[in-house]
Amino acid sequence: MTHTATQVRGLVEVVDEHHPEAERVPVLTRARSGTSIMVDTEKTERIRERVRGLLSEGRVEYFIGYEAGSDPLHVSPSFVQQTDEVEHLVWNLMSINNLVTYLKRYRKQRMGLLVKGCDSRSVIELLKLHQVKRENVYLLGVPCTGILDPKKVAARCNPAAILAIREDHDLVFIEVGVEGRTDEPQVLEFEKHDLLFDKCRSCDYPNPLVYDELVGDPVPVRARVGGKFEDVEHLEQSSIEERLSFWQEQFNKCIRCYACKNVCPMCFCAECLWEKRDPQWVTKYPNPNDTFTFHMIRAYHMVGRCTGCMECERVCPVDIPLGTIFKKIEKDCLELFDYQPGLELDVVPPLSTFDEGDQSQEDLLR
Amino acid sequence: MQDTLIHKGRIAEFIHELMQDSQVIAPVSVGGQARFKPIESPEEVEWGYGNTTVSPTEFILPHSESLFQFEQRGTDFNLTYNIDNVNRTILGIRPCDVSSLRMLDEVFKGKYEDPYYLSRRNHTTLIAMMCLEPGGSCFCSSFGTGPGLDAEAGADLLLVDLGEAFYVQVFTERGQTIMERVASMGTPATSADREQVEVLAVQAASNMPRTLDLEGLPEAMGQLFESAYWDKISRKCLACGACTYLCPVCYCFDVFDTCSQAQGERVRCWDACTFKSFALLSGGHNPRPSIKESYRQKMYHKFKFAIERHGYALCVGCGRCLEACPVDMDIVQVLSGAKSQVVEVV
Repeated sequence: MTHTATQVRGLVEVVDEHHPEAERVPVLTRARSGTSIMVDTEKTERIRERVRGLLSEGRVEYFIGYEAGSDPLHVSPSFVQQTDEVEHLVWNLMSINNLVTYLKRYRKQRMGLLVKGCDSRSVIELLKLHQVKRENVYLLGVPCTGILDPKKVAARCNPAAILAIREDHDLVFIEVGVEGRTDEPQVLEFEKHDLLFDKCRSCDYPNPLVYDELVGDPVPVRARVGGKFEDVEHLEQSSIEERLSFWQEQFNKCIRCYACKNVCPMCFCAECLWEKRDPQWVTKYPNPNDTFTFHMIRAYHMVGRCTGCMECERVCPVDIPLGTIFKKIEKDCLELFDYQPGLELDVVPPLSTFDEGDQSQEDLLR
Repeated sequence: MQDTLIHKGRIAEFIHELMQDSQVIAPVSVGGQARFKPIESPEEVEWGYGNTTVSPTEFILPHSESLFQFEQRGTDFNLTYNIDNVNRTILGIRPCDVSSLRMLDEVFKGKYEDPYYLSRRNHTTLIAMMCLEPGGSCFCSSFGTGPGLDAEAGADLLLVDLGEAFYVQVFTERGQTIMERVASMGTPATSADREQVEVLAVQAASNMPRTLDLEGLPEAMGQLFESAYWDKISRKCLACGACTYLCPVCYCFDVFDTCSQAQGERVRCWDACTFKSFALLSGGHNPRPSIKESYRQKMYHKFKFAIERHGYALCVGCGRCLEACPVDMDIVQVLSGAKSQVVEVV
């Protein structure tokens, strides 16, 4: 049974722990007073225990995981350096960030890293491209049952009113403060599937493909609803003029903040053309031609490299559907070279090799 | 000045009147997102917007603007200045954004007057919309920059959504002139209407999800400049410009020339202190070589140097920096954390 969420105003002071489960689900009180974050106790404890071990044994200098974020809808990356900081680490169903992106900054240090299935694919591709040394990274893999999209949650209930989120199998319960009442929050019930990130709804690799150890047992692949490339196919059917005007409207929103590029684990150039000032090759302001070029250059460089973590699309403040571009590339790469990035360490990326059986240039340009 | 009620059924007429002598900028849906844009008809306005991702202050300090064109004529240059004197009305600007303009004014008409900014500012009428439902990241009540608005904030008119009608409060002569032109569209507001507005303002303020206590903050930061706290805090920062570009108070800009043979133009565009090359000097030295220094600079500029120089922080509590941050860096948590560092040391 799914209730329709109604808009309610946020309340500030609400006492935590009103479910019978409160005893076994630890509640961490957050900066936004009265709100709390539910954590997966079992996985969180396992993670903390292992990280404590890794740090005290000197296996890693840093461990990067997740900590509670600014509200129940978010977690934030957490850099743990000392064993007494291990208690900050959490795992819950908002743990979305692909932490592999930090490897490019700390590639010379021995890092520990929490990876989901999707994130582990970025590690594989970075290893193939010799961007990181396997012995420098200790990977704690988490089998993942899907992460909630804060935007989808916000579309169903006022984020300012959310006090807590918890899950029970395929259901998600969101507690919201009710206007004029401080004693009894309203609990809304949703199908988890409806709130998941799109990439989680069509995820083929929920279990990490490369890891040093797993936290929890491997999970089954979620039954897929709809095709993986539906949005790409929809666009492919439209005329070239329609596609151009679609992307022009989208790119016109671009403010060139470079969140997409900076969050991308595969964007690892030491000096980025787009931020280089001497010489300055491109304008800093959102001149439509340069903005279009920016997104296209990134796309072209991601052929056979992008593992579809969709972080670029998630972080875009102006909601440009960047994931569609990268799905198109994934689709082309699959059709032309039968290659999917981030799966096997010993398969050479298509653009790093040449095979007489490769499709002709005409096929590529069609 | 008499406050007025304009029934929502007549709001299109009201907007039409505004369009007679100005370009009306209002929240519309752009590629699925609410953003302030010039409208051609009142029907385009999307009234159900919260805080727009991009602040309408972009119409006063645009992302980029051509300052002047230059052309070589023999041994001389011909310069054409681009002073923008289009009459604009920003309809529905939120109180936090109105307040941010007052802070920008201090920068652009302080010691030196910036004719580009000031021309736009003086040609723009501000019709604000009071916030009844703060967003999840809002903390404007900590600065007194919202959710309501007082006469000093700088808006010409303030609209308050009372359900069936908009309550219109007049703040300036320019606002008064508009209301005289549209007098036939409204009815005088009653004291009961005024009370309802007061109740809504109190309710909105009490629903504010976050608060930032500025007491003692600059002093605490004064002791913390070299602290390892900034190493720790900045580690997760990705050095993108989402927070700074969306901040309605961030005003840093870059100026450069684009040339083609004997002509070109000088352009000013936003820049972000969070970018790696922001502080890069000619010769290659970068006084802010890592994310720690750039992130710390952002915090100190807004919450220490500005408070000492102007008496207020360069922040209006709109929450956009948190909303847009890819790694959920919460300015309220960062600053509260800084204060608690000093308390711990003492």
